[in-house]
Amino acid sequence: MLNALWKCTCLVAAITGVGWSSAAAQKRAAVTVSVDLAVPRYRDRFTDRRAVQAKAATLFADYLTRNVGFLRFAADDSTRPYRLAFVLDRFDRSSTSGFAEVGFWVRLERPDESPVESYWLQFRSADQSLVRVGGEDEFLNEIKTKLAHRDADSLRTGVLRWVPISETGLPNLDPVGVVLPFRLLDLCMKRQSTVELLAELGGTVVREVPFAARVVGNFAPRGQPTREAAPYVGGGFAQVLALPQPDDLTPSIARHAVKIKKIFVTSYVHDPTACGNRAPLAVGGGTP
Amino acid sequence: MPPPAVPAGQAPLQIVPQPPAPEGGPFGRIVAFLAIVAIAALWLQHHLGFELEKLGVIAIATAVWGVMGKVADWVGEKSAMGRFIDAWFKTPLRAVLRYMTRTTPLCGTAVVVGALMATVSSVTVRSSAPGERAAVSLASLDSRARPRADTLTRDKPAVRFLPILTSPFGRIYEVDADGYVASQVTVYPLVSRQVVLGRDLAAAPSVLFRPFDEGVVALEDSADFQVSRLRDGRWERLAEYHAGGVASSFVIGPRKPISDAAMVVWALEAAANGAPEAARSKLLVTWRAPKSIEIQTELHPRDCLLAEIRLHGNLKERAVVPLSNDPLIDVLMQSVTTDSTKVPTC
Repeated sequence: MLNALWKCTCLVAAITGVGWSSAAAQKRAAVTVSVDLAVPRYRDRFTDRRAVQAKAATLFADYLTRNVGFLRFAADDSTRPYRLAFVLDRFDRSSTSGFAEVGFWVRLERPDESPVESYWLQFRSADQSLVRVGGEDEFLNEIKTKLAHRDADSLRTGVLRWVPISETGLPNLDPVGVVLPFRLLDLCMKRQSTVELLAELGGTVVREVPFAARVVGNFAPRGQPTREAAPYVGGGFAQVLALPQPDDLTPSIARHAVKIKKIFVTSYVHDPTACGNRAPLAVGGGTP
Repeated sequence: MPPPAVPAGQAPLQIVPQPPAPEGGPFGRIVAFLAIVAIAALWLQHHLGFELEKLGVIAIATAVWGVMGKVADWVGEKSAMGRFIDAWFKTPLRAVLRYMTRTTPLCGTAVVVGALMATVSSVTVRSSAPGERAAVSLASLDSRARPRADTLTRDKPAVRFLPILTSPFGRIYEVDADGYVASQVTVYPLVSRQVVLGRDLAAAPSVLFRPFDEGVVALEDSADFQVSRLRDGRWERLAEYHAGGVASSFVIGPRKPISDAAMVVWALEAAANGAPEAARSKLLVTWRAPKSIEIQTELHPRDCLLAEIRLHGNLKERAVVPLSNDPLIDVLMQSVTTDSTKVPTC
């Protein structure tokens, strides 16, 4: 009996150890999702507006979780440094007409950076401007319907590309590129996606240089991985697309003088089957 | 044979025939009395009104009376009928006439008739619209008596208030009718005062409040419509209506027809405010079927009305309008862009 228990304990410890040391254990960056009803017509409609906004934020967080696999999303979690606000406002914000098109603007608030904002989802066209707002359930169902028919491409490449998915990475010399601290499956990412690497090149003068790279597969080292490379085994590998001339990156990698500062996803080829059953983060930081 | 001798020392008797009574005295009084009666009858007829039905009843009674005389002739009952007429009509009438031609009754009758004609009059109210139904009331301004009331109906196109006390110099009364602005009229003796609704009494103004973009949406989301009137510097609430999720325009006061020309102007108005075609159509349909808001009082020209649409207490649209003499005042409500707590005045 004790022998069997000992074996089980060892097995769990081994699995845990492998998990901690592999790319799969890395946590993707998390983003707080919130909803703000800026149009007075919608703002005044609900007596408990904050509750409605919170429920709508949950819908958006769920949508993003299923469609943007390289980040994690939590509704109204103020502990996250990045905040994605969906603001229901007029398409033409300078207009005061009651017949204006209304939709969701998306604003990304970043620490120490200016916000990024764009108009993303039409909610009511000008022709629908006299349609009643409806009750809470109707309103939330309408958002759900709109989200079901909207792809997230513009959101991924227009706004979420400014959220770094990681602040670490393993530079690789041959071929020149970076190993991501995540498996592609965990990112719901297919090959051909592109990322931007912000690398710090050491030397007499330390510089931060951005490089564009394409995801070409998973990292599988030849032979036994080094202690440094062990955590990245199985992670996605992004090959640098075009080396600048003169090439400072290659010699810096060779000298182990490259430090990956940030990795951004600039073009995302989504793998929907991988993220289909994901749920958004629980507020407070639970893992999915 | 010679006439008998007259006793000595005594003048003979002389029989002198009495002089004939002067014919002008009684005849003149009869004429005067009949003139008083005729004037009184004309005066009564003027105030009672010429009604064919009453005239017909008198004519039928006269005809029956004549036929009965003829029948009496045929059956040889002339003398009996004559005696009956003499006993029951001619003799009393003659007696009355003789009595009335005396100085005191004649003068008394003249004074009474004159006094009545100088202090009693009538007010007749009729509608310019055939078949109109309206409650009408008449009250003296210098009396605390309850107003006299009657109702105009399809079968009763005129209402007559009689008797109306007045003075030789006239007395002021207030005439009021449903759907009309109450008006004061001076009632003089002799002639009846004729009041025509719509001509002498202006139609009470109606106000049509048309909600616009925010108002229509708010009403469909179960907003409230409220209307108040400015009185002595304060807003008194006239009506409050819970839309219950249905948007409409609102008419305060009597319902008035909406012309096609108004619809054209509304369409232009909506287009000028940037409403796309679908929204424009919805606005026109909404405005075309106004909801009548009942109020407990009449509106008057120069009243100042405030209408508001509120959703959960939040002011969505507002309109302030001073009433004019126009029968239908058309007001487009507007979204509140400035401080909603500041209420503009007329």
